[in-house]
Amino acid sequence: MKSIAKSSQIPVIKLLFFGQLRECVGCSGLDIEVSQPLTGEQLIARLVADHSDWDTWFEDHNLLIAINHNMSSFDDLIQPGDEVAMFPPVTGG
Amino acid sequence: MTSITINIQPEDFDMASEYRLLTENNPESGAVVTFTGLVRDKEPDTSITALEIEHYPGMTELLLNDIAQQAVERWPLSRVRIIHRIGRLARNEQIVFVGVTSAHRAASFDACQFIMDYLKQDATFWKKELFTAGERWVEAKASDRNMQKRWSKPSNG
Repeated sequence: MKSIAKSSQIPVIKLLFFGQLRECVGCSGLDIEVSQPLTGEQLIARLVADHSDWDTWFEDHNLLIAINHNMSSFDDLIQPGDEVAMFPPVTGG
Repeated sequence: MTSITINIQPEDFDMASEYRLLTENNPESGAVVTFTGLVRDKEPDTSITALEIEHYPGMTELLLNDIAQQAVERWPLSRVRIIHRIGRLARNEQIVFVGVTSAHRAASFDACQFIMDYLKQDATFWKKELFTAGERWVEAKASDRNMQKRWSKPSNG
């Protein structure tokens, strides 16, 4: 099968924020263009580089990460196209 | 086969309706246990005016279903109903409901508490308390994690 022309579109990670993190960064989420896998820690480094006022929140607070609706760790690899959510410890019930 | 119903909704729920849905056409169940959580004042001098609850759509449903499935695997349950409200709730309003049925009471008592303990620790909800003087995000408690630990199964020696 002949290969079709490559799309010029760079894949994205759909990033979501919840709870006090969402309120403090003033944003419920954003799409991040990534061409190769990266860890949650690396993703945060990119976010802080692009939004210096977010630095305090990501450095000083206990945050959790979920990748494609599975609780994960910040060392786990995120693939282009994944949905990633970051949030404080949960307080339901 | 156990019936599991999970609802995440802004609307209030009616206890009588939930009891009916748990017990109607359920002749094998001799026990019904329910739990309801309410919006309360944390301290005597600080009246909460409202509670705002948000959740992670898509993940919350999966987690609540997983918690219910774990309960069904551990105890012989006939029905499980879980409701958790979202949005803005006033003081004393209902927040969460867990109802279970089984042939005998021990399973229902334990399963209901298990589901609440795991919901408190794992379900992707976040609460913010609103007062006349300001607002405060609720923080996760170590006591909730400790309560969840009591359900750890002993390892086979």
